[in-house]
Amino acid sequence: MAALRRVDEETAVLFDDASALTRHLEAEAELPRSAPTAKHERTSMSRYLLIESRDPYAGNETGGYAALAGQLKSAGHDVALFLVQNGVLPVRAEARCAELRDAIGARVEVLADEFSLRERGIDAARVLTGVQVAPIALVIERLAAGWKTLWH
Amino acid sequence: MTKPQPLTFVLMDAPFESDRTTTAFRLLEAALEQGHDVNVFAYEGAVALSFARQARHPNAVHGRNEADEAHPLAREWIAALLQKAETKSLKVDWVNCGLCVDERGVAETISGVRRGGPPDFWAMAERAANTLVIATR
Amino acid sequence: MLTLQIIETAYRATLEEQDDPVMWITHAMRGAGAELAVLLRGNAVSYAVAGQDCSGLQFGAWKQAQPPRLVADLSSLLAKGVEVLAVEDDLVERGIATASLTEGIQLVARAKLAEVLERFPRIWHW
Repeated sequence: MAALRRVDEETAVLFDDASALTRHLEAEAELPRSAPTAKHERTSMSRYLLIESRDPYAGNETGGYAALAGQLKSAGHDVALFLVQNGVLPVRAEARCAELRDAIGARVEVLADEFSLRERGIDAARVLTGVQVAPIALVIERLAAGWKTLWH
Repeated sequence: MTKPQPLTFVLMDAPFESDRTTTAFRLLEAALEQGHDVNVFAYEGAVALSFARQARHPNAVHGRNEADEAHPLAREWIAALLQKAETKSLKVDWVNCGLCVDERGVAETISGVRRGGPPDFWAMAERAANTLVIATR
Repeated sequence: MLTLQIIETAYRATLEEQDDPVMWITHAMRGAGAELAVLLRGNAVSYAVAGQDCSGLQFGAWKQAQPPRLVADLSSLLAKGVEVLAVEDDLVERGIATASLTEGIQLVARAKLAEVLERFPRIWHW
C-alpha cells in the first residue's frame, strides 16, 4: 500500500501500491493548473496629480486638496500632491497643518515647487519630512503621462 | 523617437491679478521645453493677456525709469513662447474666447493668437494628451 | 471623453457676466456635443438653491435687463442630460436644506468624492 498526503491536507490518499501512486501523480501533472486567485483582486487604479496653490491659513472655504489626496490614496490610487505658490506655506518643519501631515502619513507623494519655496524664503533643507522639493517640470511630465491633474 | 503629444491649458486670470498667471506661463515654458505642442484656451480675464496695448511705465517708488524697470508684460511672455515654439519646430495654439474679448474690448491682440470659442476648447482637449484647467477665484 | 466639471467658486462676476462663466461654458460645450457632468462643491453648492433673485441692479439710469438666472441655467443643464451632483457636506455646513434645492441634483458625501472622481476619465476643476 502507498499513501500520498500533501502538507496542507490532514488525510492521506491511499493507493494499492507505489506504481498506482506514480500513475496518479503522472496523471495529475498533465492536468491544466488552475490560476491562483488573489484574495483581493486589484482593480484598475488611477493616478491623480492634485496641484494645490492655496494655503490652509487664509480661510480656505472647502479645505484644500490634502484631504482629498488622502481619500484617493486610501482608495488605492497613486496620488501626488504638488504644492505651488502659497500652497507651499505649510511645508516648513515647524508649520501647523494637520491635513498636510495626514496626507504625508497616508503615503501621498507630497511635492513642493522649488521656485515657490525660494520665493517665500522657505529653506528647502528644512521642510517637513515626507515633502520632496520638485521642479515645475514634473507637472508637465505627469500630465504627459496621463495623470488626472486637477488644480486648486 | 515619437514626438510628445500636445498639452492643453485653460487660463482665466487677467494680467496682473494673480500668481496663477506666472505659474501658468512657467508650465507653458516647461511644456515647450519638453517638446510638447501647446494649446491655450484663454477664457474670461485671460483674454487680456494678449492685448497689444499693454504698456510699460517707469516706477518712481523703485527709483527706475521705464527702461530700467523693464516691467513684465504678458503679451511679451506670449510672444516669447511663440518664438520659442518656432525655434523648436513646435506649435503654440493660443485661442482667446471671442465673447470674452468683446466684453473686455481687448480685440487688438499681438500676432500669433486667434479668436475662438468653447468648441475650440473642446477640440483642443480632445486632441491633447491631457488638459489642465487653471481657474480663477 | 466624459468629463466632470467641478465648480467651486460661486458668484464671481455673475452679475457682470449675467451667468456663471463655468456653467456657461459647460452649456456651450454640451451644445457642441461634449459629454459632461457637473459637481458643485464649496460655495458653488449654493447654485442649486431654488428661489434666487438678483434682479433690480441699477447704477444711475443704467438698469440690468437680464439678471443671471443661475438655478434656471442649472436646470437647463439637467434638461440637456448633464448629470449634476452636489457635495452634501458643503450644503450642511452652509445650512442649506436639501428641500430647498432645485430638482434633479444628486447629493454625494464628501467622503465619497474619490468614488465619484473615479467615474470620470477626465476632470476639470474650475
